[in-house]
Amino acid sequence: MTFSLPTVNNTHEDNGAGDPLFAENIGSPNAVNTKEAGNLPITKDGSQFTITSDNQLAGVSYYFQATPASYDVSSSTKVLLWHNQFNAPNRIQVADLANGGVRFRLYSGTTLFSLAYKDWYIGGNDSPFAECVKGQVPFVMDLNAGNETSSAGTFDNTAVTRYGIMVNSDFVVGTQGNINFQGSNFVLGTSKGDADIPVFTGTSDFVQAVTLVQGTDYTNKIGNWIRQTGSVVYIDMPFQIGDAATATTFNDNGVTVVSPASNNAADPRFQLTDQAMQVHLNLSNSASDTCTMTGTYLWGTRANFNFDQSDASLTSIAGATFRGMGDFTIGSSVSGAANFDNTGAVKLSNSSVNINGSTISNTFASNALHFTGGPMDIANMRFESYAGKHAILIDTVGTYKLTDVFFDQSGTADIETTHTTGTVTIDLAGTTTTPTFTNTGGGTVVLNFPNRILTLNGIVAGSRILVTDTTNTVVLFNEVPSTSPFVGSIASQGTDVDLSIRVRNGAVPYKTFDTTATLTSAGVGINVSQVSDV
Amino acid sequence: MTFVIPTAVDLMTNSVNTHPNARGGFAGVGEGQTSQRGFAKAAGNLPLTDEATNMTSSNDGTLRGFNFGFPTAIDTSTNTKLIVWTYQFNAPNRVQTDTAANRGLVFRLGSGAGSPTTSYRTWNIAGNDKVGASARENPKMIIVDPNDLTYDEDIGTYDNTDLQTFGLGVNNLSITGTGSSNFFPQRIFAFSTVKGATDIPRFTGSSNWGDLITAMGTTFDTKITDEWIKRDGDVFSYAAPFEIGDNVTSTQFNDNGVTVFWPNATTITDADPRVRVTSAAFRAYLNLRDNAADTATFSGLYNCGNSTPAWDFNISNNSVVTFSGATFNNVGNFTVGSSVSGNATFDSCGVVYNNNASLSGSTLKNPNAGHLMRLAA
Repeated sequence: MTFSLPTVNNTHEDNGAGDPLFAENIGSPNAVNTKEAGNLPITKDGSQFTITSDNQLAGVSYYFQATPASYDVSSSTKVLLWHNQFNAPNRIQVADLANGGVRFRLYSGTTLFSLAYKDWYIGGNDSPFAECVKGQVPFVMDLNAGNETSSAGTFDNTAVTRYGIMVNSDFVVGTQGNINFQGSNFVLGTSKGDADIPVFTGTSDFVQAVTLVQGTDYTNKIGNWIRQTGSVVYIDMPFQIGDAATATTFNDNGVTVVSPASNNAADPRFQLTDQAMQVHLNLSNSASDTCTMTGTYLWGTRANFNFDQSDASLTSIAGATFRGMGDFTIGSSVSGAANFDNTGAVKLSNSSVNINGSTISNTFASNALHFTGGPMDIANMRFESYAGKHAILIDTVGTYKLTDVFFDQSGTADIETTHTTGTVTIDLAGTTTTPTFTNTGGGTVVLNFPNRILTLNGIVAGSRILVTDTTNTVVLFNEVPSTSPFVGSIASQGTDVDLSIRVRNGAVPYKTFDTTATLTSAGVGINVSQVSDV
Repeated sequence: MTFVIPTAVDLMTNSVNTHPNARGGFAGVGEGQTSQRGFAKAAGNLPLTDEATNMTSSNDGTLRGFNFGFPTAIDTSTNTKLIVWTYQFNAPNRVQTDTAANRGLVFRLGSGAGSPTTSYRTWNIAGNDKVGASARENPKMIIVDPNDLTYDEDIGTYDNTDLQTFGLGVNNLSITGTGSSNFFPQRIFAFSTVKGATDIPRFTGSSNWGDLITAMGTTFDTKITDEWIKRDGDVFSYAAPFEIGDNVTSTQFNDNGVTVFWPNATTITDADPRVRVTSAAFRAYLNLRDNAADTATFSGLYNCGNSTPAWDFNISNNSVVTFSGATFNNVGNFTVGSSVSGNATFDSCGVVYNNNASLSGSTLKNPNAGHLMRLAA
């Protein structure tokens, strides 16, 4: 029963000079010391700086770590979780957001006086950071984030070294100065298997994550990066389910999980790339390792969900809703009918993946579903609202079977094929909507339609039937059925067929029964009414 | 573009001693009145430009608090009202409360005459082991339905036809340093939960959920409340009833597909027992004019939490209410009239009472009632 965060990066319990990772002041704060109870938990002091003049820009900066001296985030990013608060409400005293009331600075380079840095304006007296006292305000900075407000030098993301917080004072209420406390922070990895990515193991759920961060009393509340209101959990960090070693039974218990948007104009406390809020499945190769998701996942960034696990572990996403994230890669350990709404591409990584019954709508990607694992069968899936895009991407030759699949035909074409040689065969079965195609690659595409069923009921024994396709002038059946009803299976090219039906029995005798019908994908049934001709 | 938050019943900008509706300190067994009463806290209210009633509690094992009077007595015997209040501790070393079980921070409603009243109910809503007082936080909400029966104390004969006072108290325990508890109650609301009432929060005009944020204020000198209205991207949390339309003003509401949820009803055993409500608290109404120009469009996701309030969309006139893929979770009984049409998902709701609404394409599942839908006779 565990939700684990990595070791804290800096507790920020010491004043500047007493902190071995303190780098330097930014500007000239009037005092740098500590605040009793200014941290979380409130049994800990918080590092503090004070500004006593109106319209003064000042702050403090710290190294991330002593050794190694820098982070290389060029291939896989990290995120900094930090929080920060003001003293009493008349000690906020900051400018508005446009004037950078609260600013975050990220440095690269290993020399103390490096001039390579980026600044982000993350709060002001007109944003949630400083419109009133908020306690410890969480903010999350991706070390590869763009959208910086300003910069200096050439920022090098292979050598990210230190960070800082600054306040641009503006005495908005009274004349007292600004006092700001810094709390502890974490630096998190974002890739699967990273040692410093938050991980659920054991018998776990999201409420455990809430409890770890919010604590159970004043001695163990460590932050506000995870919060709960009712059945909704806000989680401002990437995470992984399982660590490929520890027995894990995760269940979301149907809660709604919300991940923040990046660079929100009204509240820019989250500066994120699409790597920042990734979610990974990393269960052990054991049938006793399970993950059950029935909740709703609302993602503010296009972070990928990597559920590409194909082993003995069991993950169910039946009934879950996923909205807003990036690509969602699924392996054969994952099953269940889920709703994917406004996500990136749903990628099925091998032919054994079964998410039949799922609905994919409002895709953000150019193709709602991608068979990345090659040929496979799907059933009972619905593709809706993909204007200007495609429902399915096929890039590998082979045979694919689509049973009872619904396309709302809102897109440019329902299926895009990109193979350049060989043949993609698509077998349509059941009630599958006849799809439209875009053959981008130029390879061969063969579409096999399901046979359509003609049923003739109430045939007098010994009668001969003659069924003619009058659309194509082809005799389909000319025989004396051995039983009634007669059920005929008729090859289809996906279009409706007009039939002429004649039933005769001269031996008894009966008058000839003639009728016509249109054979649709739903089939057609005829009640043969033969009248005695005595 | 309007969302109106009804007028507060008290702005709480005076000191205790100068408060025009002061109704006496706590006076039960083991109780006393707030220690310092003569000054208000600069910038302690919302907006930040306002002072706040300042309340301190000595470290003497006594529950110290004070009562204040509603402008007029409240009768919740037929329809409840919802008390929505916020408070905030001063600096983080002034939190200093005992546990919730030991009455760390309590809310009190009193009935009848007297200063203080001798009949009251008390809800233990926070303490050093609860979210509301384990650290200095944003202005924390207190959401109490006077008819809620999860109160932690019932003294005298509580009369919900004559609720006259509201109060806050702290049982100080020095948990960090030696400072005493110091906190500020801020403006307080008493919302109606009745359709058409003047004091129910309401959308009119061309409106959407983003109008809540405008109404709440977003700058230090305009922001009037916090927490019971919050927005994170396209996700809103809200902790009050609401109505769309007032049957007079032209109204075109569209939720624009956002997610809106309400907190769970809680008790003292929960990690955060600040929401003490009945199923009547978080009700919702449609009150559009009999005019085709009045519209309401729902495509978002709504989750009412575990209090499962009844929602009344029982409107059958020329107004046009469209469900366009909306999802409603944990609503109680949900009544829809013939002005309503379209497809929605009703998941874990009570009975959908369908008074000739066309809901083709809708999904109803996981009922928390005996059946999913009841059709009009």
